[in-house]
Amino acid sequence: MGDWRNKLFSVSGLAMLAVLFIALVTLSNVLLRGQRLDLTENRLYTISEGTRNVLRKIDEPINVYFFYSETEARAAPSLRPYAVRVREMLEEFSQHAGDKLRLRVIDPLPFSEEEDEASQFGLQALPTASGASIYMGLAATNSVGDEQIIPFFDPSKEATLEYDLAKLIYTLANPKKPVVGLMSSLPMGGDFNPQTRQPSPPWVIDEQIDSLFEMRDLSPTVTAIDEEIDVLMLVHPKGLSDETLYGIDQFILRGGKALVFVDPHAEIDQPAQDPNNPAAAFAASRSSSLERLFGAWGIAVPAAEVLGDDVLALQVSTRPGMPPARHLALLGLTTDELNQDDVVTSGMTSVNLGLAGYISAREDAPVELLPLMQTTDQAGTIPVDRVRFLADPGTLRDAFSISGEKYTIAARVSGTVPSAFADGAPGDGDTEGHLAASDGPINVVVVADVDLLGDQFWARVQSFFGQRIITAWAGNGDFVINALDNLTGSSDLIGIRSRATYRRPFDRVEELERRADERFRAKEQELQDQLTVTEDKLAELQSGRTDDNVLIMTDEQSAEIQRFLDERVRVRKELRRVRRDLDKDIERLGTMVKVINIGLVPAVIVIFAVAAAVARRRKAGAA
Amino acid sequence: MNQVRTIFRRELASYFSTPVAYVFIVIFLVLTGAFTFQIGNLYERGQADLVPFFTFHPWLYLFLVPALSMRLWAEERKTGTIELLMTLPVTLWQAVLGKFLAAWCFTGIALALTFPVWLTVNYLGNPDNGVIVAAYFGSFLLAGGFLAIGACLSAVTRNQVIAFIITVTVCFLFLLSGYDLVLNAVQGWLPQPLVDAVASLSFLTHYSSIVKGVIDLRDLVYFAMVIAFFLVANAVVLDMKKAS
Repeated sequence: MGDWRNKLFSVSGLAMLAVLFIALVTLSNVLLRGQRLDLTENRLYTISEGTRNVLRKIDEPINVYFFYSETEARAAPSLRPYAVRVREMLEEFSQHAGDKLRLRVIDPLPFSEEEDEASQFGLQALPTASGASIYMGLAATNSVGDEQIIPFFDPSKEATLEYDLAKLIYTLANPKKPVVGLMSSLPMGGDFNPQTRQPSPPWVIDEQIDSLFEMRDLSPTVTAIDEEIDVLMLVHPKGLSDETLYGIDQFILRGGKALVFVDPHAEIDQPAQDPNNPAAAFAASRSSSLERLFGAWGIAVPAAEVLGDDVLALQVSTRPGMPPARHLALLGLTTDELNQDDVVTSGMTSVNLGLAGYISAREDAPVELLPLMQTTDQAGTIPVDRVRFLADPGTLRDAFSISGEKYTIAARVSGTVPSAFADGAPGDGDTEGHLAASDGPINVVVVADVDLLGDQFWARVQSFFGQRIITAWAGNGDFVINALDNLTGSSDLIGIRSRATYRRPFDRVEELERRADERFRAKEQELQDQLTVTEDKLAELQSGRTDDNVLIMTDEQSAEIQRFLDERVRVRKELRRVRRDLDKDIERLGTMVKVINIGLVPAVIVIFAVAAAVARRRKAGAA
Repeated sequence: MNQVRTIFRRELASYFSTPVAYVFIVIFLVLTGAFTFQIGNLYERGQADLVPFFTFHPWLYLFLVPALSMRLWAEERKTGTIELLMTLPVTLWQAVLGKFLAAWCFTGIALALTFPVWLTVNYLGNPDNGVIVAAYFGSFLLAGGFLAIGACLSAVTRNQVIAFIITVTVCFLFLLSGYDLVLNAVQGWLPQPLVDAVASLSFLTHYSSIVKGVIDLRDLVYFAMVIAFFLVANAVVLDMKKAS
């Protein structure tokens, strides 16, 4: 009697247990979200605080479509790891944004509706050998119909993946075009040229900013910077009044972002000609500074010196007909001098500067300088007076000494700073609303060169049937746009630094490959040399001939050719052997690795087990 | 707790007193090695990580763990030693826990003996060792999940072969429940929350998230619950059998 009851209880107990189990697992899946321990070396799965803030501040839902041709991508296995990485980052994003970010992963099969959709969004397809196309891009839309895409996720841009995605989301979440306030003492927006009596076109950089941002020109006499301005771009500030400086100071302390270009000597700053006193223009100062504000932040851009760099010096042609000469103070920065860890300069390969200054910080400066552009350690300073009336750049080398220091030319300036106007507003001393110190860290990028903005340093403008065709030959424009883009984004975006890459190759195998390649090339070179020698010899034999039948080869020549042909066969054979050997080295390492991993430990265990069994039997036998 | 330790020791020692343990470990090591290098092409793909190695663990466990767990109770029941065990001054709980822990520890030893592959990738390149630690941990948890299921089902029958087959089947369902194949089959007749529940039951989804290098509390809780549930069920089943 009790038996079956027991059984019944047990069976129903088991069933209840199962229901409880499923319920608990489901519940824990929902409730325990977000508690995780990221053990990856580069915290690949931990998105930064900045991104999280961006995601938290989304008001209206954003739809994200990740198009990845998973099926087709089987033909391109190298793309797979990165696709997985992108998808996981997107999933991480959507987890943090909750229902504000709707992620859909789509596999656009050939000739499917999804594929049409992908191409309608303007995503790029990578053709495969078999004629199919692989999509690995992203399209996102917000509730007011704005659209942003990443046409193709380029694995080489992995370092900025998080930033690029966060930036895209931010742009959709904040659809208004950012406002850039430009205060410049230079005629960036175009000028009237008195000599040609025609308006000169705007600078390329000005046009580019205008196309991407809402640009407002600020008079150098304004006393307050409008709240609506997201980024203040100050170019070559000269002789600003205290009232204007106060306006800028308060704008920055309030959290306004600024991109400042100053220069100890701006070549591009051409003073107006005074017909009555032509010498005045020649002697006029071409330097600019924001000394008062910089002083409060604890930084300085020395006004009497420009930088020279022996490694970075650019070639310039000084006079027609003369060979180009290296100009120590015209610098061509490369990847190594552009901070690859910062999103503004990451991935940039060249920026050209002219007569640039440098930024230094006091020991006790309240701000931190994060260099974006630096010189090499083969740099030194040159007094401004020496470049002012420079006829021959070659003479710069005289008296130039390398200090061995790396100078910072452009930097992010951040930190909590005091006002440069400790006593409140200048003049009447109105203290209402005066900020004595910044609320939080300020966000400013300072560049100690103005010339880099000039077209002649980075862009070629051509007229083509009335259209202006612009070809950039250096990254100066990208730098400015990146900096503005980054500063207008939000301080959350600024905080996202680029990440180390995901790919981890077998260094040892690659090293073997490299070494073998070198050997192969050396052999190839040998063959080439041999060929040259033979050709020379043939030519020599030919020119030394005195007979009439110059078109017919002598026996000596034929022998030489035959010798070369034999030699070539020998070297070719050698080359094939080298190639085989190189593959052999790699294969041998692979075989060793496999043998050790598949066979070694099992073999040891078998030996151990046999030994243990024998020992046991002996013991049993002895007993 | 002392009794648990005693049973644990006795069980673990009994593995190594017969060739079974060695055979099991050798098969496990040879298969992982062969799968990793021959099918997963760990060497040829040139990436310093252990993805091909850990990818095959669920499938290896699917057959090897039931082979290990099938004798846990079935044998004791067949040979009648279970009666002996029950007369010892240990509770059912302690016996269940001790046996399970011994088997789990044994799989841990087998797993630890795969260390050459870890050394290999460190020799060949510069892998992310944090990820590898997490993946080993995940694999160990996965083995625990399989074992708990196997232990429970081994108590259901006297026949080891039947225990093996049922265990493989149930484990297979647990592996696949996150796949579209299974989900589509249940989509039609189950409400969505239950479908989600089925999806969240999959070993694979939880395992693969740990193998990436991220230890999510949900994954930990999941494996802990799987083990706990099947061990409780194991005790209940034994109790039922004893009663009958």
